[in-house]
Amino acid sequence: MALATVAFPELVPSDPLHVLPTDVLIHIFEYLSFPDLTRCLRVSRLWYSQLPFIPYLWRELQYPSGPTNSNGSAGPSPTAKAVQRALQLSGPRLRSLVVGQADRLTLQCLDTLARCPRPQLRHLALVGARRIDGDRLVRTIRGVAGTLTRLNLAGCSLSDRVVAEILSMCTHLRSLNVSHCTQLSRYMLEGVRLRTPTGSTNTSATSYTLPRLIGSGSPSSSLSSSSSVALVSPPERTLPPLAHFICRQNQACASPGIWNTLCHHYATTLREIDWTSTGEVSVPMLRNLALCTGLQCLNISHCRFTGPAEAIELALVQIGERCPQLERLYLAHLVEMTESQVRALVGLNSGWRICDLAHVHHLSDAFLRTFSIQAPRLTHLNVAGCFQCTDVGLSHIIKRCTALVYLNVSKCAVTDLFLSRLLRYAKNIRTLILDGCSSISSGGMQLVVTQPAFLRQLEHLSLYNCIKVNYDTAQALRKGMSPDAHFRYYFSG
Amino acid sequence: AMETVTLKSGDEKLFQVPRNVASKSALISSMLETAPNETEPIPVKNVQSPVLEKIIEYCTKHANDDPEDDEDSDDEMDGPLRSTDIDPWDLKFIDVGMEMLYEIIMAANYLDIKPLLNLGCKTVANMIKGKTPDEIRSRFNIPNDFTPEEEEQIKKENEWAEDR
Repeated sequence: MALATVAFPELVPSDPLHVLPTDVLIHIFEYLSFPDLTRCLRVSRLWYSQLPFIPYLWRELQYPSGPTNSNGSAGPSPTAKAVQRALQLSGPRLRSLVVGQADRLTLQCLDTLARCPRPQLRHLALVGARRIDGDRLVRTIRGVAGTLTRLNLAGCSLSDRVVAEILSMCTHLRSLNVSHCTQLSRYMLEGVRLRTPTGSTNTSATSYTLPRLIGSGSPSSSLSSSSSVALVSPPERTLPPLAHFICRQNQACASPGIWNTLCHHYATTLREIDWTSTGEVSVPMLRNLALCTGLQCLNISHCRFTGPAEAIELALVQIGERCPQLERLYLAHLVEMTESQVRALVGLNSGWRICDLAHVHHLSDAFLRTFSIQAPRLTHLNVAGCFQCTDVGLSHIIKRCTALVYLNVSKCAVTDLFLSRLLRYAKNIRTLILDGCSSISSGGMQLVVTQPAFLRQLEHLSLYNCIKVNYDTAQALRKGMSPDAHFRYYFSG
Repeated sequence: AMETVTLKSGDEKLFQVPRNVASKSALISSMLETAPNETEPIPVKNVQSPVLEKIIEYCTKHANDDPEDDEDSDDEMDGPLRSTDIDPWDLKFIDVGMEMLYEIIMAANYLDIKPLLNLGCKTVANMIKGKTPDEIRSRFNIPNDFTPEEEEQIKKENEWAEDR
């Protein structure tokens, strides 16, 4: 009827694959992620047949991608065929392979990975492969061991022997993640591969020995007797330049032994220890940590100090002295840590960038005041639950730490005065968490509404249980924020 | 007075531009170096006048940028390059029809103007990023030539890799 008014699509060919030369296409597709690229395969026959022949694009594979699948929600399972196809597409240029829920990988996939030459693979993550046998993992990793610098095997079934094998195979390994590997024991790091005297590469002929360590107790006799090679002294070891050791939630293997071995063997290379929720931290452990003079990041959140408070404080001072490069510190939920212990650790250093002090309940305004002077480069500060911290202490932080992008003051004793200071000085804030700040009112948040530039740049604002902030104000805040930003407002009651 | 050079577009139109503006093009810059006293107009045969006009607009705006900023450093890079960091003026500048966008990209590629090439490629990439195959097809006017069975099969083959 109204045919004449129908707008026909323009007939100019506008498929970039028709119009643009290959080098430009490569440039364009380089801006896309792996899921984007797999979606592109479904656009047309031309795209399906052409894109795989740009192997440069497929250097990073990740399944499942994005953070949405993290809490165990079973996404579609990577079929052997699909992973194999992806591995073939990527060719030898693959630099990074990340597989979450790796339990779904079939053995053929692992074999494909082990067989194909991957001369550029640097980062491998096979997370949660609980049912896959450790030896199978070792065989898979052996094929790529020479180039690997980052290995994440969180939640896999690893035995102590497997970890030792990995450490001796991956000669360039800088980062190892063995979080949630519940089968590891406290002797995990103590099995160090010895080179056979002839230098033979016959792997079955090598065995492990348990070096004696300061303060780690004597290794059990059954383990030492299983060594078939007599201890050569000093043993010629090949240790990778391990810099990042991530061992979260491993209560089963929590022992000073692992920590101490780490600090002794990797003293010159270690940059980061993540020991979150892995157990107690004793005075000898802290003393050993001071050997790692290049340490940049320490995470002992949800751990517990054991030993006399003064001895802990002295050991912390030692770390502060010997590790001048420390810049990231996570002490969340060390509820019994005293203010002078925190001072002991942070006091001698001024390079702090990230400090998570959530629920270190003894912290007060006096600490924040001195810390603000020591941390001119601070970008992230979390003092959630530090209920002794008020407007006064946090104002010092805001005035002096102008690089702050993340600030969490949940349940601190802050009022609207803090907000007015924040608006005046903290020009770079992207994330602001005010959960449970019951003295912050609608009036204070209205001040934020009147600063559109500040509000617009916020990526995350949380007002959970801010009981004095009314609904209309929350609406006005949301409206002023960017549509992609996260906003949380809710109260129970 | 500021030194100028004359550029001749593919359709024989002449454009007089300051030398530092023309030098944003690595191609023209090297031509100027090899023939410094050339008074003849420099032919830019592959670029038509409406496109050359846009290119000159871009180069004029960015004439005094630090060339260091043009480099996308991608050594030791783990993820894909970032395509979201586009300056507001550039965003407005590149808000053109599909045909003009391709012309600008090809001209930038030919004239070797790296930041402009990056801008064009980022713009096309952003039209693909996060989109469904259907959205990509309609954006670029691409007919779907898969049979429903093929489409279903490819979808199945790849769905584990998608994040939605």
